[in-house]
Amino acid sequence: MSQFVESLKDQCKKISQSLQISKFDMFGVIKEENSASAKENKPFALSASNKSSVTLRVWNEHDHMGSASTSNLTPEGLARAFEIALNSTQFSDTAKKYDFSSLCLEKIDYNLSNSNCDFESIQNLAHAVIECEKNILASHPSFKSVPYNKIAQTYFEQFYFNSLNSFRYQKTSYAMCYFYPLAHEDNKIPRQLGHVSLADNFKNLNYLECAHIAVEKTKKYLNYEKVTSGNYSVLFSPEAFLDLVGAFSNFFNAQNILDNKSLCTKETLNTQLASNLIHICDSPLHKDNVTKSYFDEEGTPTSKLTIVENGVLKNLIHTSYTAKIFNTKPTGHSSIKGKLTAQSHFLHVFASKESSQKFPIHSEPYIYIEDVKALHAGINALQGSFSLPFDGFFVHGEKSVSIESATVAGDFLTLLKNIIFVSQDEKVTPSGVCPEVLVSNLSITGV
Amino acid sequence: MFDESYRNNLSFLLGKGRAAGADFVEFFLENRIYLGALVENGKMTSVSPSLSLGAGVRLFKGTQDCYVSTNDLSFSGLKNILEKALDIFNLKITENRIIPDINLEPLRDYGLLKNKNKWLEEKPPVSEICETLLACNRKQQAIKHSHSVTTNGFRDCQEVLVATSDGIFARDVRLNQTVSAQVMCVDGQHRASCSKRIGDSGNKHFYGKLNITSLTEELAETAGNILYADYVNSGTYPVVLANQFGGVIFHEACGHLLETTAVQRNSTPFAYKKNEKIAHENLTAWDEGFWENGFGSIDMDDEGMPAQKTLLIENGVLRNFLSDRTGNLLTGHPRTGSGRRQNYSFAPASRMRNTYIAPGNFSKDDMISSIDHGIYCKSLGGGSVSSTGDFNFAVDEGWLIEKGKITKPVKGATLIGQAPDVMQKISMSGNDLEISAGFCGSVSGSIYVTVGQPHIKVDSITVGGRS
Repeated sequence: MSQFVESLKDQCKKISQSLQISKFDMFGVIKEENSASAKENKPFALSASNKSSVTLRVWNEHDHMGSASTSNLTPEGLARAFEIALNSTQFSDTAKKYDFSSLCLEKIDYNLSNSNCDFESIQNLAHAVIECEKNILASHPSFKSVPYNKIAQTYFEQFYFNSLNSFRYQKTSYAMCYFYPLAHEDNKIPRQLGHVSLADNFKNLNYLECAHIAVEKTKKYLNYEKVTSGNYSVLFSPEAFLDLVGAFSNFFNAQNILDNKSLCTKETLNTQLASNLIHICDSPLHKDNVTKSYFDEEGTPTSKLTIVENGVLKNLIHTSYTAKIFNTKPTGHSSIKGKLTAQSHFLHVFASKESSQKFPIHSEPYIYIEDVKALHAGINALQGSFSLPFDGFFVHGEKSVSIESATVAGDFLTLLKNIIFVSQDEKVTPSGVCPEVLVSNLSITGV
Repeated sequence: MFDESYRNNLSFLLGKGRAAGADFVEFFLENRIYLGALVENGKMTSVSPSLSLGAGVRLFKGTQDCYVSTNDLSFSGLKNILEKALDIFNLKITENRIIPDINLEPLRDYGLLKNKNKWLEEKPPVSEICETLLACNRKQQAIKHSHSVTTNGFRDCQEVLVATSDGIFARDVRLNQTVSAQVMCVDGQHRASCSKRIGDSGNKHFYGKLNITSLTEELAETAGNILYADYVNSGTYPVVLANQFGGVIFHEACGHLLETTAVQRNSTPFAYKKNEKIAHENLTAWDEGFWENGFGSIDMDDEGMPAQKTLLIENGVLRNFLSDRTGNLLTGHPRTGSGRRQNYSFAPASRMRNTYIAPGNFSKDDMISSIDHGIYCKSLGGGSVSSTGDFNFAVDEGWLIEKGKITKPVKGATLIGQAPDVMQKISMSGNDLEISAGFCGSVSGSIYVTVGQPHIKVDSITVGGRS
């Protein structure tokens, strides 16, 4: 544990005593990041940061909770945060009894093998990103620039402690890169696709391969055709399907259910929500999750949770509060900044035993969606509907041609029920693990 | 509070940075007091104060720049980030030479000049904010078929100090406040959710004088209209976009592509079109740094430059780009006071402020009556634009136009197209300009902006919906 966190604990103890606060907890992050981009063979937007921030919760003498966040971690800044959090207890919802997680003192088996990586210099990141940009621009005459490119390395420590002497601490690092080359051929519209890669540190980050994948993806879109509007079967790439599940994650979020902001209700538990071909888990400690968290923001240990099994909604993600209401245990998904709520870590979607080994479409055309875009605008998570632009292909037998521009629209719950094939081949992505998923009868609008 | 006492240290460090070999050095210091509150289904469910303190240093060496940020505002903390930034360019602070301090201008203090320091000094009016949100939420609960209602708001007070090696020494205090109301209505199998937002800047009495009746009546009207609405049939239609937040079409389809951030990344089709016709001759558009109480208003940008009023498009001809210091260096376009960032952890970039299409001579009825079969987009959601110029945005409340009349509501529409193409098709501008508050995300984070327009007609656009 860093000396800084140790001194933070001591300061919090002193401040809480001076303000006569007997119950408090704190979740914090200390983060250091280096990043570099390239522009025309030169370093561009080189950046470094070190940043610390904490969220503090305190309980007053009536056991009402208040909270405050701060990045001013000087003794004065912390004292002010305690005072503000204490003041905000008077506005707390008195009908709700918030408490520490019942699992905040549970033992955690940390695997800290990824805790002592070397932190790469910005110059080395810049050399690497310039090399990638060069490779991309040399790979095809249509590539004129790589407007969005970056290699970054992040080291972070996260910690939780409370007045019951619960203490959690972990340090992690990861490296990330992305490349979005812009291809433009005469008398055609510009095309841009990209790829994102993640690894536990820079040495293991295959940035050259990431750039290569971005090139190959974009090249496939140079020739394009318009697609006729209509209803099609749609094969979602792993990335696109995970994006959709993430955007509609209110269906398995217990807090959203309590707030009437979910596509499901308490009664939906243990009912058939989706096609029986699909399983969905949250797997925070999955071996391929490079940003794994061993505990959540209430100090609850994280672990694998089955959400959908054979299409049946089996479990919800919980905070300490929702777990109490649902008479179950917290699941390690708490987020305490702002309103206490739950959030997923690293989704793992896979085929059930009922899913066929063979792709069921042979003669009729279908749409392959590689990336869905503009989720912030095209998703209505409460209504359950979506209308999203996408990058993808019209596929008919041997023919596969990229689509000029189109949107896909539908209802999420209907989409889950209309899944007709889940591939056995899973792909690791930055946000989870998922195979390709085929859905029947979605509305496609071509430009 | 940031004041004259920072002069000596910053001047000293700026001098050190220049002496080490940097062409330009800039410090940005930020202190922020944020209060967010959330009411759900009649209960106050979150009051979330947040305090933020940090600084960033930006260096230029030739045409390259770098940015380093920290939470540590002590002299040694600022010196550390300067050394780290210099190290990126293989430069070192020279300890043994006499370094002249940078001659900073007398503190240009908009907090003092415009009497804004009081926003920092006074305690956030937590009770007033909570009571306003609770009252608004109660009205929302009365909306027919409401299943879940949410009201959230925030008060964000930001103090910034900018000091640069070319002598800028300026401070600003900004106050942004907003309320957003959301309702989900359910009746049997029918489900609809919609939201409305009001926001402004620099208005101490925002919460006390908020017209929650008007806000909730608008929300109720939209919810009632779309609850039983059919999904729109996809196709290509002429559309009329309502005023106020309809301005998001210009923001997405054109505004972002006129930022030098896009020019320097070679990701705008308008890069070499200055003084060329890029839009319909009936279209004129502005981006203003300061609009009284506009959500995107600033007295100075995050590079210390006073806010400017920038003519973007005049009768269809591209007149100016929005430019910051980096944009000026890399593209030659003059700075427009548009260097903005979410907070100290981002380097500034050229960004929009209060952006709007200027009013024309047409009435809404002129536009509707000119359409035989089309869509009236009364309420719009968010949108986005890509480097290829492909834009999209969501229609929250749409209506069919049939034989020159607005007939029945439709939902689920997304408007998509190519920016250069759609700009040529905005053929009519109304005489009823109104603005609206919004959030804009881009390379320098999420910032407060204003979008605005009168009613406009787009001759044809692709509407994504259900087939």
